[in-house]
Amino acid sequence: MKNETIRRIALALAAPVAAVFFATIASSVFLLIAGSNPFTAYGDMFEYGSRLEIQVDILNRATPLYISGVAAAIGFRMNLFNIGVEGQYRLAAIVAAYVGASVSLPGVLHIGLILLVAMLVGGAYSGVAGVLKVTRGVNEVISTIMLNAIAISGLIAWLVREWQAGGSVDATTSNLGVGTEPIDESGLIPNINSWLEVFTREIGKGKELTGVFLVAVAVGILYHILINRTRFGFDLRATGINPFAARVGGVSDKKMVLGAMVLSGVVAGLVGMAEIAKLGRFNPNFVGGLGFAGIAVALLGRNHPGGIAIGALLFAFLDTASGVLQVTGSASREIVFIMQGIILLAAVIAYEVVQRFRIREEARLASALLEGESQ
Amino acid sequence: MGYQPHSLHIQGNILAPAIELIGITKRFPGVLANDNVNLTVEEGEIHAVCGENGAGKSTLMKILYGMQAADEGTMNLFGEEHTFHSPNEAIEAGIGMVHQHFMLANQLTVIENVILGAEPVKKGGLVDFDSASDHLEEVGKAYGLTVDPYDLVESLEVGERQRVEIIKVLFRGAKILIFDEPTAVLVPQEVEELFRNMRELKANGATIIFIDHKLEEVLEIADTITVLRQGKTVATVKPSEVSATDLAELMVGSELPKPQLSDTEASETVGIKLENITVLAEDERPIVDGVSLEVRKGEILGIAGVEGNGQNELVGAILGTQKISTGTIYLKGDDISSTSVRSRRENGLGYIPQDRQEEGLLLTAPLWENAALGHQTLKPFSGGWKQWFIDRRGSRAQTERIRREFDVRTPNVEVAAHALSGGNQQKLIVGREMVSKPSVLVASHPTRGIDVGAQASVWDQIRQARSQGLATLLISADLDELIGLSDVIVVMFRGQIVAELDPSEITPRSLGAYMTGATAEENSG
Repeated sequence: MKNETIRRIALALAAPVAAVFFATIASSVFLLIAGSNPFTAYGDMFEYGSRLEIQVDILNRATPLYISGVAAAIGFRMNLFNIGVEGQYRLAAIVAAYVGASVSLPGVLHIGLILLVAMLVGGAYSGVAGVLKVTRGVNEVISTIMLNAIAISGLIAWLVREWQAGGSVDATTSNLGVGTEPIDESGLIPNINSWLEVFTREIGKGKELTGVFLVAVAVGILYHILINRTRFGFDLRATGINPFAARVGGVSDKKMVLGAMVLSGVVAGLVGMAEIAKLGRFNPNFVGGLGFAGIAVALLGRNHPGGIAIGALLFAFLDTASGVLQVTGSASREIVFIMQGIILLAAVIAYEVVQRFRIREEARLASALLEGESQ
Repeated sequence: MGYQPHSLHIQGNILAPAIELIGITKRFPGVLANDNVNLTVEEGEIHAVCGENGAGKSTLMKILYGMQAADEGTMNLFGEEHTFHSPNEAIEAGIGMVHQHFMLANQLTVIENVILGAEPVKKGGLVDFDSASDHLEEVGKAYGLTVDPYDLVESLEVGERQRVEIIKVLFRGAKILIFDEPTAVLVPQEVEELFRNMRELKANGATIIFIDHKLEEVLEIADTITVLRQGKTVATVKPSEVSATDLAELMVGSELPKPQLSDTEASETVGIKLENITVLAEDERPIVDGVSLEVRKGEILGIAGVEGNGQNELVGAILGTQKISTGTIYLKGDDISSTSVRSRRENGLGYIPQDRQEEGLLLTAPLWENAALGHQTLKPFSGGWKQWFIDRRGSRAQTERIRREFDVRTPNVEVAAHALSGGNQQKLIVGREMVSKPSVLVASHPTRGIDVGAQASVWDQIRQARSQGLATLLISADLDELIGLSDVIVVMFRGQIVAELDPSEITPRSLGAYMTGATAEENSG
């Protein structure tokens, strides 16, 4: 039994290790073609990434990526492609920022309200795609892409004007006050530098580790419990593996589509919270693209709560550490986009290969047992 | 290679057999599919290859047709040694395969299907339909097969579609035809038509390899019979020398089990009752047309019918996956017509789906999760104070029980379902439905595609459950199974129940007549 456990772990690790290994080699080739020395480039990135302050940046970047990855993974688990995380989290963020700025509550309640509003908006908006699919059979890929366009260049553009904070000039940014009213201090999720400093030295240079990191951890744990331990999760996975079998097994596919879609949006709503806490309002500096990045992270992590975390950290490291390449001039920072792409591609292939190997192995074991018995 | 199919005879040795397989061995992980198999097929004969499921027939044919490479052994065609790396090479050498599942595009015409992949082209790159249909007619005449080249395939009957498959193969110049269980999809009357065609082909010089495990058919049509068992050739015999019983013994090493029932044990209590059920297709045409029936506890009601006469939709209506437009369904006396699938299953409706991989299993999930599927809302899979959670320990224990009681051969309950053989997958499904003690069971082709041993054990389980008061609705294409297991048989034809029969008074042949609707029309007219 012990041997089997080791085998299982080895098999689980084989794919990501092979993928990163292959991606490193392939990226090196690209670096060489571009006339850079891969060893210097990687060396610079690792050296830079080993600094505490940069690690805080990496965690800050990984936090929304992780939440976004989980949001996408909930859909993937039942073969639903929620491409709409992008629109959902941005819309959720602006509404949550607006609501947060228009009330004044004690700290925990204020933060709780903002998170709740974000989740509700995210869930409601992805729910539109769910309802369309269930009642009219509209493919969720198409509807969420459309809903992204409506949210980003329609609703948000309109809401930003509508809720604009009276043209006041924001001293901290160069923008001419375009954005929602600032949220009171009580509604801003505090940093958790002190938590990290327990393990390390003091964090300097005004770097702050976002408190949303804890939210991300909670999301991961809840995701694991929901998917792997609950009946809802079982129904969801069953529908993802074989919708026909799930259906005759009493799973209502319509309820599951709607449930998974809404849940995915609820999680998506939390993606922008770290950014809101940092900016204190919704303004044009609000970061975009996290929804699409989350899809990649979920793919890389195989929809597994731990895997998504690794994927998010890896992508966050590449995003953050690439900044140094510009400074040292050892390579162009765009190389990380190539690396991310190659890692993703390599991961998909490696997982497929390992999966086939695993299937053959299991079939071999089962039939070996049969032969053994018949003799 | 560059063989011209029509000149094969000249290039090869005229006296040599059409096919000579010597010492063919093929290994799959953990399985010896073909173990030193020898097969000699003379030119112009119908050679049957029979054996149980898993005896190695399909593997042997795949090797012959170039779909798989043998690990050892040689293959001679008309005296010349060949090694095929793809079906294309086999086709070039004059071998054609008539697949069990038709490889036809339904929206295309017969001629389009026939030339697909080998289109004759005239000047300007256009498809030369005229010369194609001329050739088609020639081929048809030469072998006595007629079919209108411009008919849409979807408008054809099953038997006609099969004829298109045959013509397609002949069109490519095949001299050796492999028929892979061609009668599996046909009713007895269509089988006769097929056999006429096969004799015609033979008379015109074609060599036929015929794979089957229906012994009466093999004895009727074959000139020579080769029997495979567990990957080995056990005998090559002439039909005149053997009886069906002899063949059966050769195939399984002992006599074939037959489904048999003890006396009627049905109680008066009704398990499930359908009243005037109608299901409409998308085009508003009724697929199930006013069906009424009832199954009492301890009774097995068999539903016979050619596939596609509404049986699947009827099953869907009972299960709740298919919307009914009129009618009422009572489960143990309660109207369940508009309840969800889940509530029906929770109230004691068991279901063995006709396609275990498509409807029954989560292939990539472990066995214990598969055992929970359909029962996940009930103990021991969930329930109690933690009703929203799956009880993993309880599920595993229950799966162990199924594994023990239903003889599911598996290393443990953690392996994924796809690792199991078809028979063991089926036993798992039957087991999970039976251990939950359903009061009504809908069993759709419960023994399709599994070996004799697993089949007998499934029959045993159904029989046992019957004696404990289970009401069973049995849908099957295996007429022996239907007649042997059922207390009553009804025949479905074009969505209606056209006959109710006593299984002790009918034969597969007379049942076949009802299934094609011939008898029904006579009776009503």
